[in-house]
Amino acid sequence: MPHKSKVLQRQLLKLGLNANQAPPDPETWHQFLARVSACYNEADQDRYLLERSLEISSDEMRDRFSKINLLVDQLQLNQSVLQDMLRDVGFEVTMSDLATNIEKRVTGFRCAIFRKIKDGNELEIVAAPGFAQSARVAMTVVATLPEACPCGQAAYYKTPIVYNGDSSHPQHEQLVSMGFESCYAYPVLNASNEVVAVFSLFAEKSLILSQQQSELMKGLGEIVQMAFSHADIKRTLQKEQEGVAARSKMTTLGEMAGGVAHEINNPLFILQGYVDLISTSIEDKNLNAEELLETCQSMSTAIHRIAKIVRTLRNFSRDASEDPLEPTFIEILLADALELCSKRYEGVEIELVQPEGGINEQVLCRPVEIVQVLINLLNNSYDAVKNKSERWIRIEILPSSGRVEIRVTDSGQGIEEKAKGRLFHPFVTTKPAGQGTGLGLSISKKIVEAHSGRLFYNPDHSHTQFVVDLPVYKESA
Amino acid sequence: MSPRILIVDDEAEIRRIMQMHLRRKGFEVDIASGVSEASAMLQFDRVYDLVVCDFRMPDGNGVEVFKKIKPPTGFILISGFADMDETKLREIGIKEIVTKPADMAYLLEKIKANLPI
Repeated sequence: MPHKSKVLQRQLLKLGLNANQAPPDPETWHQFLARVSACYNEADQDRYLLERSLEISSDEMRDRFSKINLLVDQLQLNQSVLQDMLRDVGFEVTMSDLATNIEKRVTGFRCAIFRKIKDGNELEIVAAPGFAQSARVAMTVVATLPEACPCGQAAYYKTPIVYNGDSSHPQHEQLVSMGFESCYAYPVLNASNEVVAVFSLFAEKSLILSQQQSELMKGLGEIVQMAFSHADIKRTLQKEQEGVAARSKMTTLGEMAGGVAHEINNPLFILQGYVDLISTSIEDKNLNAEELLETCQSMSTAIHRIAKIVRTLRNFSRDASEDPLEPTFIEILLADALELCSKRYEGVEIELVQPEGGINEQVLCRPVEIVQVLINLLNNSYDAVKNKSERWIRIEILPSSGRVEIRVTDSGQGIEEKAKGRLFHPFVTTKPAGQGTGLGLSISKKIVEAHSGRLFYNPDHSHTQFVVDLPVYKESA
Repeated sequence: MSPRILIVDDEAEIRRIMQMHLRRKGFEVDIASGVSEASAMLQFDRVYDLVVCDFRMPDGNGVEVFKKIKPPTGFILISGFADMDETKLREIGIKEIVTKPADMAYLLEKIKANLPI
């Protein structure tokens, strides 16, 4: 049979028709046509339903795909922030990186991130890497008021604000003068529903954010709060460290007090002696002008000695990180450090070997800070060898091609392998509990590095040796 | 004969002042700058009536000098460092400890009190 369709054959059969025969009577023919038509309609409907359902699946997939894209974008932004936090690049850099990464996903817009100042009605700018300097300056501080620009409004109303060039906006003129035709601002709220930050997008043309982009902006809240709280914790930790550093200096001062007291009491004794001499001379009516003048001179010297020790003590205890840089002779730096430290060695018979004289090299430095570093090394050596049978500390100054090394070696047997790696870490100490806060070397290392130098332990020496390496200061001719 | 005193201190000015004062008061005064010099001088025939000795010196401390003297020589320990362990020092036998700064009148009193009779 030429008509192969099974559906057709069925219909023919139902009406008892044979395709090879002549067409039936009109009534049967109409019945046949009606049946065929019904079949076509069904097929049409089926096809329509199939297409519809494909469309819906396709829409759903597009929707899901879109959601996945959004998630990926969010994850990528979160990752950038987390990586920055891990690498400890600092809060400003982290936010700047985030703003740049956001800009990649909202083409045509520039991103500015603001932080809400606690107890105030203002936002301060934290990052605006894509903006011109003039724009950044104009956005340094934004009021969180209804009449403010969209960023401030977003913070005031605690809801996203959109500006698209409408002249009724209170800041329309300012925005136009800065060259912006669109602005989207999103507030970030914490768990107590307070505004902690505002993200804003500015465009020079009239642009509209897609639904997805808008969702992306709204989802930044969590990661931003994490970055903020990380920055807060770091700041608190730093203050605590400074507090501990200050207390650690107090501890060291206490340890050195004995030697220092001696250094002050001797000149006082001498002064007293001269005073008594003068009294006796007057009582005995034995006044020799020359002798008395000499005596007064010696008294002056003794007073200067005391004044110097007091000054050195004071210098040791203060924060010298803001001092100006000065070219200073290394020998003088060493002498100042020894002034506070050397007397301790006499009490327990530690032999001090000083460098030979005649070293004319200077370093450009904050003298008080370098003296603090040397005192730290000398005190560490004192603690290390005071109870040993072999007790000495040797100091060498070795200049070579533009740099100079100050080497402090003591009779200790070197630092043991497992402690070497953490020598310069904060809060690590080899001293018994109660002594040593473990901050000395980590702070000393920071100071030396801030002077373009290096502070390191020399593992190749048979005894314990620490080296301060600094660039030599050369006056330009 | 005037009493003989040995002053031991690492600071030249202190030795000089003490020598000047004590000589004016009629003592014979010798000076030593450290443990080794003092030990050498204590080994001579001359016997000192009193040794006034600093506690901390570069080549040792005053206790080492104390161990070198024989009775009836008196001994006064002088120190500029206020927190030495006085109990331990007295246990060793040092009876007189004077802290710097002290005026000459006070020192003279202690010297007279520690001279052998």
